[in-house]
Amino acid sequence: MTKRGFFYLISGVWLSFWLLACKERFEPNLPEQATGYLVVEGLIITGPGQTKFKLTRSLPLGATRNSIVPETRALLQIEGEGSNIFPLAEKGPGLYAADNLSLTNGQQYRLRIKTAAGKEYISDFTEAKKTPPIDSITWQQENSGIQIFVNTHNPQNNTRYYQWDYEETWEYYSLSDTDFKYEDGRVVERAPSEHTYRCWGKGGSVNLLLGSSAKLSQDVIYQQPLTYIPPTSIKLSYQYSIRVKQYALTRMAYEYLQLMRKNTETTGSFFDPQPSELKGNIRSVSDPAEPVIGYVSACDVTEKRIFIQRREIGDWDYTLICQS
Amino acid sequence: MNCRILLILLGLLCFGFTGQAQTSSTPLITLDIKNATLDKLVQELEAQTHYRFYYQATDFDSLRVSLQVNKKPLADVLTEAFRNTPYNFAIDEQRHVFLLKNQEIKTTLPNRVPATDQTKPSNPVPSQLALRQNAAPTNTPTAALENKLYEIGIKTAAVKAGKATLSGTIQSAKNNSPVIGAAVFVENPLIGTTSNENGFFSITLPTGRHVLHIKSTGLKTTKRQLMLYADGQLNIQLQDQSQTLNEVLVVGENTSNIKRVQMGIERMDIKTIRQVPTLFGEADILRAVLTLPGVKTVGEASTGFNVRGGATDQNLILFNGATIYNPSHFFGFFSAFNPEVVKDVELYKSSIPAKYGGRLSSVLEINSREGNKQKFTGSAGIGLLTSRLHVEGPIKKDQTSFILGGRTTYSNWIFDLLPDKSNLKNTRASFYDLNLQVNHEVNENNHLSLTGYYSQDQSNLNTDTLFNYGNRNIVLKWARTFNKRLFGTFTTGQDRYQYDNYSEVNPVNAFRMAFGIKQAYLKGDFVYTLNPKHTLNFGLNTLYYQLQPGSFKPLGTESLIVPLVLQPEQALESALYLGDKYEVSPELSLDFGLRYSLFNYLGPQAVNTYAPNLPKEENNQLDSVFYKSGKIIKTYHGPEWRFAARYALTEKFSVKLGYNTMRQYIHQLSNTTAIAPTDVYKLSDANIRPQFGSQVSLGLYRNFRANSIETSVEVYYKRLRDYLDYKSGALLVLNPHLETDVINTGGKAYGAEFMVKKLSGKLNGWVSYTYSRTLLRMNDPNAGEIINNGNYYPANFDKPHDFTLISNYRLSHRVSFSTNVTYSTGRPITIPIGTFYYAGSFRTLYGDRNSYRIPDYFRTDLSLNIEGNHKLKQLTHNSWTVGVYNVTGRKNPYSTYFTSEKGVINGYKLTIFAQALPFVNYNIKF
Repeated sequence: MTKRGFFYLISGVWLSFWLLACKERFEPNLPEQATGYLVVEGLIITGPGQTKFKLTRSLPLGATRNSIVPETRALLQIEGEGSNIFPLAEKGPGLYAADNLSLTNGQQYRLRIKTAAGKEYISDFTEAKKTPPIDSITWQQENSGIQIFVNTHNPQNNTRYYQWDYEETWEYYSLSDTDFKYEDGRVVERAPSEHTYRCWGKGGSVNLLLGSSAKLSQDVIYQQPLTYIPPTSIKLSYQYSIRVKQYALTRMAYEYLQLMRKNTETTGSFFDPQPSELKGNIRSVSDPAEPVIGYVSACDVTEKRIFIQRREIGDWDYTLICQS
Repeated sequence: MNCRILLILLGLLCFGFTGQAQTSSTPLITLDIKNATLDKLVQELEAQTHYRFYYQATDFDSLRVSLQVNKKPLADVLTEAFRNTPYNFAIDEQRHVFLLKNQEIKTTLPNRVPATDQTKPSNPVPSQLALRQNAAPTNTPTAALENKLYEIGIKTAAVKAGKATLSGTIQSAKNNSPVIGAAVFVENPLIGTTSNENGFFSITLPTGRHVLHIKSTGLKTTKRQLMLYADGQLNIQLQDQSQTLNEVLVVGENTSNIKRVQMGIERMDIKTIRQVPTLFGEADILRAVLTLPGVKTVGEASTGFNVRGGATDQNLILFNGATIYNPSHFFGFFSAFNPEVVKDVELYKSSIPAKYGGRLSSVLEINSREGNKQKFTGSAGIGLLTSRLHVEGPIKKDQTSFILGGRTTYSNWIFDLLPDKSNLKNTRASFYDLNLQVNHEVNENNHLSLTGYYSQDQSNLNTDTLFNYGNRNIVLKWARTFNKRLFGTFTTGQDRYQYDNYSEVNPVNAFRMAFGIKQAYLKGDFVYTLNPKHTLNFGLNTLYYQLQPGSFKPLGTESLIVPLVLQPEQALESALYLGDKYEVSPELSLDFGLRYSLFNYLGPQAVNTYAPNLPKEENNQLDSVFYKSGKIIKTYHGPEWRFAARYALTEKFSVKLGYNTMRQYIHQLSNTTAIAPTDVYKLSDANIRPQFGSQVSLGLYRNFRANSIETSVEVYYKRLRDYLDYKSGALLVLNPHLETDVINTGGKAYGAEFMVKKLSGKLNGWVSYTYSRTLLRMNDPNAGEIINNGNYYPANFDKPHDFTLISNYRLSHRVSFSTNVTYSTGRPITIPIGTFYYAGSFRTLYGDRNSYRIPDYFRTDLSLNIEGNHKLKQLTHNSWTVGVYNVTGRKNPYSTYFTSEKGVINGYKLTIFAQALPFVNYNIKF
């Protein structure tokens, strides 16, 4: 074998060693288990803004969004340390909210739930934390895509644990104009003023976005990744906007959400911890052993929004081609 | 001529000869030759006499003889012919003449035998001829032949009834290195022992005539005729089984399987290990160990192994006596031992000798070879990913030798060649290890050895963080024979394991994280042959631990990381032990031992105290008490019992029973499935109790076909107490109050191991089947959290069915074919029982711990070992190993996981070696 040939053989084997690794779908034949545990998602917002709680039930594996069953006709109230009570109203199926509660940061609050079935749940008291403002939302081009980061700090060094979520909106143009419309059972030509080809897409965070500065000497979050827009994505075909909301968490809340994240968003690395039990701060009054999913935190919310124009970024491979 | 000389060399060992033939009766020779070759000379001599000459022609090809003699006896002619040459000769009574290069033929009997015996033709003792390789004159006969009768003790007219003790050392004739673990026994009555790590043995027998058998792996089996009058000594040299010359008969420990008292001991020599096909073709010690019954691993590329339901940290891995904390390279893909320097491995699964302690499940002893005391040799191996080299030789001939080995990988440049798209361009993986062993024979009663081991790994696992870890060990051993009954070994050394991981991608969060463990120890181990029935083992050892439980420091000037350095831990672990091997009768042997271990957790340390009867949680912490340096914070102590009994029903069939208890004061903390690069060790302290384990086992052993087939069945039941498990979301690294995140768990393990072994013949190998369960239970109401409602749940490595077939078929002297087939039940995993919608995504709701299993594991590997030509005289000998790993290409799951992607939950199965993987390896010996 020539030297070169041998060389390729070696590289080939190393390569195959890595490429041999493969990932396949794994669909175990699991026994159907009726769980139906109460799921409480939401935050007590102290300052301006809406305090919103969504009540649902856990479902069998393989459930789709259509099978989500909201927990309706429950009674929810926020309770302060004294006998301050702030009721929430059901704004939609399983959606309970109240606007601008103007609670006080630093005080303790909790959530009480009475379901339609008469069961009562209560959360532990949690301290309302002040959320510092977002310093900046930045982005940079990485591996041809766009990585978006958040930066924040608190000079008092007492926030330490953060959560973010975001909404994104993007403007794009349809491939062809809409010259016709369907009216009264007939196809008719649109007037020029009715031609629509400018569209907006919407999305939001689907991952738990958590950050901590607990190990740092200053309460600084630097370039915390929020989301990655893959190359050629339509989101950056014209103009993109992201509105990021920031929440301050207590250490316990952060640890709970971090554990939930690890349990549900791992990437199958060799050294991921094994899934472990989630224990939130909500419990059933009558049966403390009943699992309840969720963690009630209280804080105010700060937000920031940025825009990214297509022309600001280098070569973006997205082109309007028919992808049917 | 070659064949003839071969026969003769073999014959040398079987028949007796007298040297220095009586010159008076030989015909006289007249000769006049110039520049003659040896062939010419021999032709002349054979024509003039009736003598037959035997020699290796190639040894003499450079010899030219010019000689003028007149009516001289043959001996004088040869003396003249070989004057000032390296050649020697010997003549026996049957008129055979042997010519040898560099080797003198000793023609006198050893000292003790009166010289007059030699001349007496009626002497029943056959005359002997020994290759004089061991020049050291001794008072004890160095036995080299099997038909000679050795008289032990002062000869008396009549043999006094009673018992006497024979002791001595067993050495390899090749390089005088001690032979460890050789079986020394007589068959009638059935009494046996094995040589210890310095080749020393001591056996007590009824006085009278015996045939003493000596067997050892890789060496020629031999026997000695004894007439035992009283206590005495006998040193025995074993001839090497030269693979390049002779049919290799790997007899292994065939009879000791039946005879030794201990059970659950697996022994493999490097030759067997080499036959096990492995990934990338390099002989791998730990992978070979994994083929043994009762040894399991969570996955095919994971550090460590599980013995009879024990955790990976419950194995004491000793390399020449040094504790190796991380026995793997590259997170489990390769074992950290260089096969070129390893001699054999021994795994104690059940009867753990009293001299070992500190781990619950097993002791894995890896012994490296002693360097050649005669000449410089070496070997090198080249694989696709790793290469290794070793050299050995005398520092001072026959007295001091060294062996040095090294191994490395060279993969980084390959990653650099990969295309950008592969995302592996930034992957880094490199490792190396070095071994050095120096042996020095001070005199025949004192031996010194020094072993050094160093390993280093660096890899980034395709992440931003670089993981570095390494072992560093040094051991000094002094073996001393005090007298024929007392033998001692003194050992001192230091072991270290540490890791150091860092990341500097985000300048604000750039960190360096480190952990380290260091231990220094002193040991004295003694063997005393009290009387014919009792052999005592006793000793004392003490171990000083120094732990750096973790540090987390900023890296670079921009980093805002607050340095966090956990308080160092120190502790002293000491033990005193006494064991007695009691030969009740030829059939019944008992081995009982008591080890008393004492553990002192020492200051300086600030110790957290918690409210009694409440979960150890941060909010139940009462106080923190500071202890000054050297102050004893907490002491744990207790006895550890070791008991083994053997009853031989027949010579080929025995029953054994074992019971032992163990204590472990050090814990590895890991809540990942495989041992992760950040996992740390923790000492027992005021809040974390030591682990305790007990095992009872029963075994049946039966050999067939002249001990060439061994069968065994062993069953065991084991209990574990205070094994550490972890609370949900436990923080194990850099946790200053670790006791709040761990919970004490109990456990039980039981199983049956069946094995059929054939270690000789063209087809050899073994088949084993194991049924075993390992169940854990956490039901301490004070732990604050109860796993699976306090019921038993399977451990991560609980794989009930396990089948292994290792076979090696020798197609010819140069080519052999090996197969490895392994099947096991899939390991347990925790699976989702439902889902819930939270934070924009469906998320998994996990059920009981380890309530489901991943698919079964099945793999077949093949390899072909091709030796180069077997010419004795060539610069290098080489061999090839080619093979295929996972021939069937079965996609064995390594891990499974459920993850939410784009709002829905998907289950995935990850396979590392999803196809057949070919390999090739080239080895050179020089």
